[in-house]
Amino acid sequence: MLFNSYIFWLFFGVVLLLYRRLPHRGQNVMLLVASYIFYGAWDWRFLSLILISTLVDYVAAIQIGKRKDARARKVLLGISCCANLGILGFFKYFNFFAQELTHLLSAIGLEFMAPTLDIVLPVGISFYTFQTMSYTIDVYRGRTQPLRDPLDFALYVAFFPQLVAGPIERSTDLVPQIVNPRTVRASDFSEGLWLILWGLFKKVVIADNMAIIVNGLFAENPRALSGPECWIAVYAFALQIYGDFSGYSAIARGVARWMGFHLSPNFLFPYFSATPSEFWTRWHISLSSWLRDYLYIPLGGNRGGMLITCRNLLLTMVLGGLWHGAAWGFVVWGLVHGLLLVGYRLTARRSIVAQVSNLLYRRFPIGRLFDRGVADSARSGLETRDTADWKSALHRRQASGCEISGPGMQAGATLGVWRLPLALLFFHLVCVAWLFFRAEDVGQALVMLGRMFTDFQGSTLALFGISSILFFGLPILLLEFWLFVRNDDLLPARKHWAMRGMVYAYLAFMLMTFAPAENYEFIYFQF
Amino acid sequence: MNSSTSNFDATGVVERPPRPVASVFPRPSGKTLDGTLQIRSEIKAVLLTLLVLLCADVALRLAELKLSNDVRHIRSLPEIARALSSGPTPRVVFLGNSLTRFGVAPAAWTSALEELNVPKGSMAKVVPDESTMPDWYYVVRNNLIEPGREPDLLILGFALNQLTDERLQPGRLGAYFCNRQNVRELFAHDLPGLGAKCDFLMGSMSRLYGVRDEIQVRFGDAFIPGYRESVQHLNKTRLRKSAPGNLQTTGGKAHSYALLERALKLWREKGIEVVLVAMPTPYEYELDPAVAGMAQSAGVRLIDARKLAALTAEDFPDGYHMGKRAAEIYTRYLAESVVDTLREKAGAE
Repeated sequence: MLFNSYIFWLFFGVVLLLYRRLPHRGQNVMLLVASYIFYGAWDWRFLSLILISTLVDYVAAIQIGKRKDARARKVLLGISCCANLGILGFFKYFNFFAQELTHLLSAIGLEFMAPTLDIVLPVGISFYTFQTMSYTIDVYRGRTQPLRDPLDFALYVAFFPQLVAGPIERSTDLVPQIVNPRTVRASDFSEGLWLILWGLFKKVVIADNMAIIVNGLFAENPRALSGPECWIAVYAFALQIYGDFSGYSAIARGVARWMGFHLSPNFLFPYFSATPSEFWTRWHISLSSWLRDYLYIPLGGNRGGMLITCRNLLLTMVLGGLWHGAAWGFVVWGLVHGLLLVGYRLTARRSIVAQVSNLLYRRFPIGRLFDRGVADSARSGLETRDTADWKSALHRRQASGCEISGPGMQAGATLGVWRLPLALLFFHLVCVAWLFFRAEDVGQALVMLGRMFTDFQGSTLALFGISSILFFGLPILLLEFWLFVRNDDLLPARKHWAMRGMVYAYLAFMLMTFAPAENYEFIYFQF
Repeated sequence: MNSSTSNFDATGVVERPPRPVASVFPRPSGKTLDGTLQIRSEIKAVLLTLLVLLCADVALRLAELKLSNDVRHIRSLPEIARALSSGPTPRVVFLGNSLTRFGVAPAAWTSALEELNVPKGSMAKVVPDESTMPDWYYVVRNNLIEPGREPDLLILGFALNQLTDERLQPGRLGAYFCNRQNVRELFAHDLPGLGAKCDFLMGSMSRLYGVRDEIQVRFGDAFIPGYRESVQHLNKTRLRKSAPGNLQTTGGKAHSYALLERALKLWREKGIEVVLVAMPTPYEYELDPAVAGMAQSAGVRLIDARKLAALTAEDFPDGYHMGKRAAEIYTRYLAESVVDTLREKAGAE
C-alpha cells in the first residue's frame, strides 16, 4: 500500500472517518488495527516479526523499569538488543555474510560453500527495529518511563504513517502523543495538506521522472557512457533519492498531522549544506541522530582524543551505510561520508576559509541571507519558529553535537558568502558518494567515477539529462531555497490563500500530468 | 555554541531532560489564524486550486481539436462509421494505430481492387495514435457494432505486443474511447485493481489526466532537447538489462489476451469477418504463438506480414512507420491476401 496509490488514500479516508468519530482510546485501537492492515497488505506473514519485536521490547522495558539491579537490567537490555538485531541480521544480512565468507575462504584456497537462504526482506524492518531499540535503551538509561499499556506500545511500534520508512521516532516524542488525547487544529489541516501535496510532488513528479534517467543510465555499460552522462546519472540520482525519501517523510508527516500527530521532520533542505556536519543535521535526521545517540556516543564520541574520534566517526558511518543494505556499495558510501566527516574534523576549526568567512560574515551582512536558515537554528531555539515540528527539529539539532552535527552548525552558521560555493562543492562530494550507493556494484561506480573526471564529450543524452533535471528540479530548488532562507518548511501553509491556491494548483497540475506511466516503489522501503 | 552542544562535547552524553510520558507535546502557538478563519482560508485555497485545474481542463478540451489531428480523428469516428455504413459493399475497416495510418494507402487499395476485379466497395481507417487492443475493442464496440453499421471485413494491423491486455491505458480509455455503458464491462473484466479503475474514472472526468502522456511528450518536445529519442533509448537500455534478449517479450512471463479473445468472439457474433495482420516494422519482433493459436481456434485468419521481401530499411523514413512506397506495397499485398474474402462478401450482397 504505497502513499502514491489510490488504495492508500481510500484506506486513509476510511481511517480518518473512523478516527473523527471515536474517543481517544477507540482511536488508538483503530489506529493499531489500521497499522497492522497497512503493514499486512505487503505480506501478512511479516506481521509476526512486528509482533515479536513489540512483545520482546514491551516485556524487556517493563522488567528493566522494575529492576534495581544493574546487572539484571543490562542482561534484559542485552536480550532485547539481541532479539531485535537477530531478526534484522537474519533477514537482511545472512546471505551477504554467507556469500562473503564463501568468497573469503575460496580466496585462501579453502573449498567451502556457506548456505544461502531464499529470504524476502520484510519491508521497513530496519526502521521499526531501530525505533523499538531506542525505546528500550531509553528506558534503560532512565530517559523515559516504560509503557504499561501494551496497546499504546504496540501503536508506538506500528504507527502506520511512519512504519515502513520512518521517521524513526523516539519514544519521548511519539509516546506522549499516543497516550494523551489529541486535538486536530485548523492549522494541522493546512500544514498537513501542504506536506502531503509537496511530498507527493517530490515523489511522483521529481523522483519518478528522475528514475527514468537513473535506471536507464545505470543499466548501461559504464564504459559506454561519457563523462557528462555519468555526471547526469549521479545528479539525477541525487534528486531522485531526495525526492523519494523526503517526499515519503513529508507525506507521513502530513497524514499524521491530519490525525493530530506531529512527527519529526526527517529532511531540512540537505543539499544546501556547506559542510559534512551540517549535512547530517539535515539529511535523514532521525537516523543520523539515532546513530549519534545509540552508537557514536556509546563508542566514546569525541572523548578519547582525535584518533579515537576519527575511528568512531568512521565506524558509525560505515555501520550507517550497512544499515541501508547488505552490499559493499552501501559500506563504501558510509566510508566516504565518514572520511568527509573526519577530513572536516581535522581541518574545519583551523581552516583559512572558516576564518576569512567569519570576517566576511561580520563585514558583509548580505552573506547572512544564505545563512539565515542555519544561523537562526544555531541560536537559541526560543528565537526560532514556533511550530511543533520546528521545535522538534531544533531540539534534535541543538542536542546534537560533535562531528555528526555539532561544530558544523557553528562553522556553518558563519559561512556567509562562502556558503554558496561551499554548498555547491559539498553537493558534488555528496554526489560522488551517491554513485557508490546507487551503482550495481563498486566496480561500476569506480569506472563511472573515472569517466566523470577524464571524459568530457557532450552528447544528446547528456543534454537531455541536464534539461530534464532543470525542468523538473529547478522549481523544487527555488522553492526549497526560499524555505531554507526563511528557515521554515511549513511556510507555504501560512501564506495568503490566493498564493496557496496557486502553488497547490501548480503541484496538482504537475501531479496529474507529469506522473510517469510506471509507478515506482519508494526506494527506502527496501532498507 | 549552545549549551547542549557544549555538554555533548564535554562528556559525550546528551543531557536531554527526561520527559514524563504524560507531558503535553509542544503545540504551535502565535502566528496562526483563528480556527474558523483558517478553515475558511483553506477552503478558499482548495477551491482556487480546483478552479485553476477546471479552467486548464476546459481550455484543453477547447484547444485539443485544433492542436491534435489524432483527437480530431477520434472525435470523427461516429461520422466515419456512419459514412461507411451508407457506402457500397464490401465495407472494409482498417483498424490499428499510426502503423496502419501510415501503412495503408487508400488509393493503392482502390487500384489494387480494380486490378483484381473486385468491386471497390467502401473503406475506412480507424487508427487512433498509440492505440492497442483495449482501445480497439471499445472503439469497435462503441462505433461499429450497431445494427446495420457492422463492416464486412475488419483488418486489424498490429505489431510487437499490441494485442495483449497489458497495453491498457485506463486514463486514455476513459478520456476518449469508452462511455458510461462500458463501465460495468470494464470494471468486471478489463480494469485490474483499484488503481486502474481510479485511473479510468479520473481520465473520464479530467482531460488533463486522461491525455497526460500526450502532454508530457508535447512539453518534452518543447523544453527538453532530444526528448523522444533519449527516453526511448533509456527505456530500451533498462529493459534490455532486466530482460535480456528480445525486447518485445515479457521476460519469460506469458502474455494475456483476454480482450482479444472477447473481441474475436464478439465480432464473429456480429458477422464481421476479421483478419489479423502482423505488420512490417524496420526491426524484428516475435509473433507470440498464443496469438496464432487464438486466431486458429476463433476461425480468424492471421497474416504474417512482418517481413515483406520488397521492403528495405529506407522504406521506414522515421525508423518506425512506413513511407509512401512501402505503404503502396503493403496495401497491395493486403488486397491480394484478402481478395477471396472480398469477392465472397461482394457476392453475398
